[in-house]
Amino acid sequence: MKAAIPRPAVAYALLIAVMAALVALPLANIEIYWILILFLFFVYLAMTNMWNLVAGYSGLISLGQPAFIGLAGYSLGVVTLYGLSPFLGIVAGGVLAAAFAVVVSVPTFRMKGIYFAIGTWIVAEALRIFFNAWRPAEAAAATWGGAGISIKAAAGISIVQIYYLALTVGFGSIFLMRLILKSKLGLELMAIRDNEATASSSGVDVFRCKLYSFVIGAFVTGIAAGVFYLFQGHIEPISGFGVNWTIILVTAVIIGGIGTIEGPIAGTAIAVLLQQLLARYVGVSLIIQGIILVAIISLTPRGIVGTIQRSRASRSPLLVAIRRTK
Amino acid sequence: MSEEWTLNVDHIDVYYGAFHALWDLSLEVRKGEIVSLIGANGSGKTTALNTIMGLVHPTKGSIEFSGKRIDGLATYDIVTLGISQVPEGRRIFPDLTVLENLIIGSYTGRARVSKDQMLKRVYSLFPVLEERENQLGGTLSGGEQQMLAIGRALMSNPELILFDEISLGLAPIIVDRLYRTVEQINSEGVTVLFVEQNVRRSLKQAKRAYILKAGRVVLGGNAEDLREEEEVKKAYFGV
Amino acid sequence: MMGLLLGGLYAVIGLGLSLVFGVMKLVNLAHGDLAVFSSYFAYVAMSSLGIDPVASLVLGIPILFAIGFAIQGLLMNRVFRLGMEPPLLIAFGISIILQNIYLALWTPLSRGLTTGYALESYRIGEFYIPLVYLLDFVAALLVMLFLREFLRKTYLGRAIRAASQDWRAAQLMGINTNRIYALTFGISMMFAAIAGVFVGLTFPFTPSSGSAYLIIAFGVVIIGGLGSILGTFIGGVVLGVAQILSGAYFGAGWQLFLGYVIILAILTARPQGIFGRR
Repeated sequence: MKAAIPRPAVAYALLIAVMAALVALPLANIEIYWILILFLFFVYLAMTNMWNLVAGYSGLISLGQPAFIGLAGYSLGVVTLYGLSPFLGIVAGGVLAAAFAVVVSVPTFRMKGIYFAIGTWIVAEALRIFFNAWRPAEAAAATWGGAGISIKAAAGISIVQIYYLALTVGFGSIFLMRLILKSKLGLELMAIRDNEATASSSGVDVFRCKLYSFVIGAFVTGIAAGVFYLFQGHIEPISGFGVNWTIILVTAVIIGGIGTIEGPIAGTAIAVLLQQLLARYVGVSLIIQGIILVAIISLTPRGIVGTIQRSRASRSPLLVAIRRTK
Repeated sequence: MSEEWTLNVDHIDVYYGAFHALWDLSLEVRKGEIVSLIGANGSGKTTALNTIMGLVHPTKGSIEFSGKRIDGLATYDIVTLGISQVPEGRRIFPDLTVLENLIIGSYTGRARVSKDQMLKRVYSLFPVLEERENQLGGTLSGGEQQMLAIGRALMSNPELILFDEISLGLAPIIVDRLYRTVEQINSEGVTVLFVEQNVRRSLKQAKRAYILKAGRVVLGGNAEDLREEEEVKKAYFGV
Repeated sequence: MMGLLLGGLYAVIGLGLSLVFGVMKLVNLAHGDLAVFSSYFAYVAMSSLGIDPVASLVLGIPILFAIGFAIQGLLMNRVFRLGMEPPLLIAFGISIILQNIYLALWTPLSRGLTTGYALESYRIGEFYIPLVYLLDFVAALLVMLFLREFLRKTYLGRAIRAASQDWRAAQLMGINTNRIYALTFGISMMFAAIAGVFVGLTFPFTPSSGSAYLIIAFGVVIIGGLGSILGTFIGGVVLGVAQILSGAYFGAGWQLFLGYVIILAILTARPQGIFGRR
């Protein structure tokens, strides 16, 4: 390969250009609609990146992400209820989610594979039922008498501010992924993903690695959830703890390519696109995502990005530069 | 079938993933014979049997049974054609009773009609199985499990049975009895192809044998001739 | 008492899942949604054609059998030797597809199979027992009996058991394991069909009911253990009783909560269930 231009430099330049464009976007005269789509994309991206970290790189197929999402959303609601800053609320959400992850890891990490998946799902469902019944007296002012609470600060935040928040979180998650994957933890995680028994006998503390990735995943997911609900302005159990989140995360990551860095990016883009294109037809976008999911797993289990990577081998310099993080 | 037939393995190559297990291997078994495959661990004996049974497919060459090509067929189809295997490690069904293990052996259409007949035959060969009829397969001793595995293979009323290392882990006295039964089965008309670690026993029981080394046939012929061969003498001493 | 009867119904829901999990080590995440398919099918039969839900099973069972056979034969058989995740995710995908199809066709409104007899109750001593619960229980017993005899006395049943214990050895018996697996899935769907109708008679259902029933089914399997029909029944009863109790003590919203907690507890402590062998 010619070394006329250092390959990673091309990747970085592109990255910076894209980021600059995205930051400048609100200043141009574009419809709010596109800002919102991008907002959604980056919030989802943070979450899909985390699911990819947990499921793709650590082998923990978690179907319980809504537990963290809902908890974070409700923390935001509660924090702002007392008049505190929404940013504090978002951080509190992330912290609470992470703490919950630690607690939940105690029973769930004892469950192997498929049991873990269902176990985490049950945890999320249990939380949903719990919050359905939770009607705090102090929150009565904020609730509509139902199980949801509104997020007071939402009114005070502008779309643009939220957008930048989402951008930060989204890009933050990408950098975080790169950071982790290049670190010792990342190598250990990939060893675990490839063969847990071998990794363990090579001295990798499997439990600790999985715990770290699970907790980090919960934290960032919580932060992203906070940003989302800050925008939405209210949260109900069925929304915060609902399986719809799981559907989006799983389909996006699998379709994009689980266990790859670009996978979640591609998958999330497709998910958001489909959602918007078919917004008028309730649920159809999800039906299509479901079909694609089934098709992809049956035919090309590595997802779109994974399959492209395999077929193009080491020929693309850009992919090589990015893939050096694997 | 009471007409003459042959099993013709013709220059097959077999791979396990990237590992080249069998190289240009050929062998032949004629109706009524007892033939054995001899060789050290890893020489490809079990692979050869598994390939005949369709558990693995050759990348080159062909396998014919009674003039019909069987090398691309699925295992269950090959069983229907009349070849049965007593697999390495016995692999009896642990949570089925002895009787159920035997009955499932006659799953194929050709065997179901003669199920009761075959059952009687198996019980006369291995009376202990009848005693333990209602016991779970997993509770039997090693020797009994081996008998069950052989009985099960017989239940499909096969023309040819492949025996894979039936002596593994068993006391010599039991192995003697097993091989006497194998002889009896053969005398009743079932053709036998077997794989056996113990070279001496191999050449004692078989009429013809093939010597395998690193996935190739290095020698083949009548058992008595082979006993004199250098290679075999080496094998005796475990080289 | 009601918990006991309800348990029977739950056992049927769990039976299909247990079969597939036990034989193919495959968790059919779409099991609940497939059962709900039968509920909606019966609903359509009832509202458009006036056919009694149980009668609709005459068609419902074969249809669901065919669907199950196709799912295993066309999709699962391709991937389920690749590990546990691909089949799980395929099932997840099917679940998504089904739930959203129901949503699109029948809206989130809850439906019920309200027939005349569905509303009757009997008085036994102090308790009022809804007729449906009795019907559920009877159906459950019949189904379990059928399964037991099938697995024990027929060649196919034995073949299924053999294939679940050692698929290679099963092939050596002349068993087409892929076809057996597809058959097993199909049979599992037959149970799902029955469960769906009786569930629909007992409770209202929505497009997302499948998830709740999946967890119940899974709970039944976990509590009762794999490979044991009796265990499945006990598992159903435990969950049934838990539901009734928590509904009585904590209020209607909490009904399933206690059940979920029990399931999680068992998953943590003894993943193979009370009666499990694996």
